[in-house]
Amino acid sequence: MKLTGKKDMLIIGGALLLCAVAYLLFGALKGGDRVKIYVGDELYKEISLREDQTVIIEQQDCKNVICIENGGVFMQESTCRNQDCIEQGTVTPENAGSRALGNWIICLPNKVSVELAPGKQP
Amino acid sequence: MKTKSIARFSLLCAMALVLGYFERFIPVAPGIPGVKLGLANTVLLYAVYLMGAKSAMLLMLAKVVLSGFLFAGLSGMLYSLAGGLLSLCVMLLLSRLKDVGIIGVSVGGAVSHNIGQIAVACMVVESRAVLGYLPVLMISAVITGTLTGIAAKYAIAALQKAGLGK
Repeated sequence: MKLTGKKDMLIIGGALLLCAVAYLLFGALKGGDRVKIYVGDELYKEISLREDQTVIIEQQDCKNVICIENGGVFMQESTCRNQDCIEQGTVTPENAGSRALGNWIICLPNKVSVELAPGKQP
Repeated sequence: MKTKSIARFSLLCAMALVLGYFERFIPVAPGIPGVKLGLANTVLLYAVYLMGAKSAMLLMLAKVVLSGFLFAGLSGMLYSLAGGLLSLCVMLLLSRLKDVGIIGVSVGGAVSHNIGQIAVACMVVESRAVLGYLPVLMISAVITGTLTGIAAKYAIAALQKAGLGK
């Protein structure tokens, strides 16, 4: 058994290419100033990042508190088990390009997701 | 001979469970589920190379079900099962190809593991938001897949030396 084969680089190269495609399709989106909150696949609320406010989403057996403050949006509270959404921190238009999850905050267990989307030009 | 293979299977299963459990304490990317070292895959690589498809499949199922009940919970089990099935099929296929080394097999397995998990997340959450996970999960799979591939190579060599090879 060999550590490397001739086609290993081909597989790694192919995987990296897949990464690049995935990034261009789903990751390269820059954040704007519209905060779109989804429950499942449905748009629950669309609000502006410029107004500080707190949105509470209560579902049958879970609750999420989303906070907009000083031009950033973050998950303040969640009843989910893993608390990943809290760990994902604050999204601002400036850091959306460099975060691992781009312009998204996602709470998988509670099916709540927050997108910092580009605003419509007036 | 049969007793020996039962003992070996149990040993590998226990190793996979312990590795899977301990890597939970090594945070690679906090807040991003699915980004992990994948140390348990070294055990599966051993099975793919030295025990054959049937045993490898059985080992993967045992690991998924047991760690589901012990640590991950039922919903976690669904994610691991999808990832495990897809990744094992890809690894079994790649390991049969000429000129593909253990690193290539490991990377292929890691990438397909994460694709399987994203697919389940898409179905469970029913939201395009989970596709945002795709780039970060893919790039992490390439890196951790390479590392576990190297680890598996040396682990398998050492186990063979200790008489646990085929």
